[in-house]
Amino acid sequence: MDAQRVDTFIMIYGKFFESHDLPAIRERLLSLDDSQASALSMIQYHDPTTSIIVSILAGSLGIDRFIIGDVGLGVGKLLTCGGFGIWTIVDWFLIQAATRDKNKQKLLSVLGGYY
Amino acid sequence: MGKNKLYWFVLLLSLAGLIWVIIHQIEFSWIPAGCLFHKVTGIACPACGSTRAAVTFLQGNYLEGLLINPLGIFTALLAVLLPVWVCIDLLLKKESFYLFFKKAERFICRKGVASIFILLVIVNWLWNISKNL
Repeated sequence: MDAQRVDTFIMIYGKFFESHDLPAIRERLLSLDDSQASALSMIQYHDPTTSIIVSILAGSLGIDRFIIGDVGLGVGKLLTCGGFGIWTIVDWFLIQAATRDKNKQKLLSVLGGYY
Repeated sequence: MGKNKLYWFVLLLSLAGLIWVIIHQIEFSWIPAGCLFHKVTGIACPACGSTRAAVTFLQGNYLEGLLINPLGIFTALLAVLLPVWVCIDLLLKKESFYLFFKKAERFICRKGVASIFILLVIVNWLWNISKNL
């Protein structure tokens, strides 16, 4: 991928990843061939802002975890009244990082491995 | 979530659940934890009444416990069995629970299974609300 396309990608999708991951993602995208590059536009990322809103409104029911794809943890949260109320509050602070981590894993699965 | 993180998380959550039940047995209700959903909205959540159900069940009133919240009995059963499974895995350095967890996640995500799961939770939730838990 050429540098301009990569920078556009980072500009648009940068908020979906941890800032410390961006330089490595940029490097990896620069070495990407065009056939893989087209698959990048197909990925649907989870928005960390949506996650935090859902976590505050319906975190007790584990819906925030279900949304980002952590189904097992979502069931755990649902069955324990949001981890006795404590996990719900902890997740208000963790869910954005967890969402960005899920987005990184999604990107990695398309890029096929490590960057 | 990695294997070790999941294992310690399951152990911690189960331990918290068991401590929670013990605390309720000796009636230390001053602990500032509990169902946030119920505290904020005043409506019972799908898991509300789980502690009461588990405690009633443990006291030998099986039917009464099931009628309070059947989900509570299921949760209590998981809180007892899963740590044992995790400990066996940790001792034998296996990852059977981790593999099962990943398989179960994929199984629940199937459209038919997810629909039944959501329906059951909603029905139980409505029942909880009607019982004023």
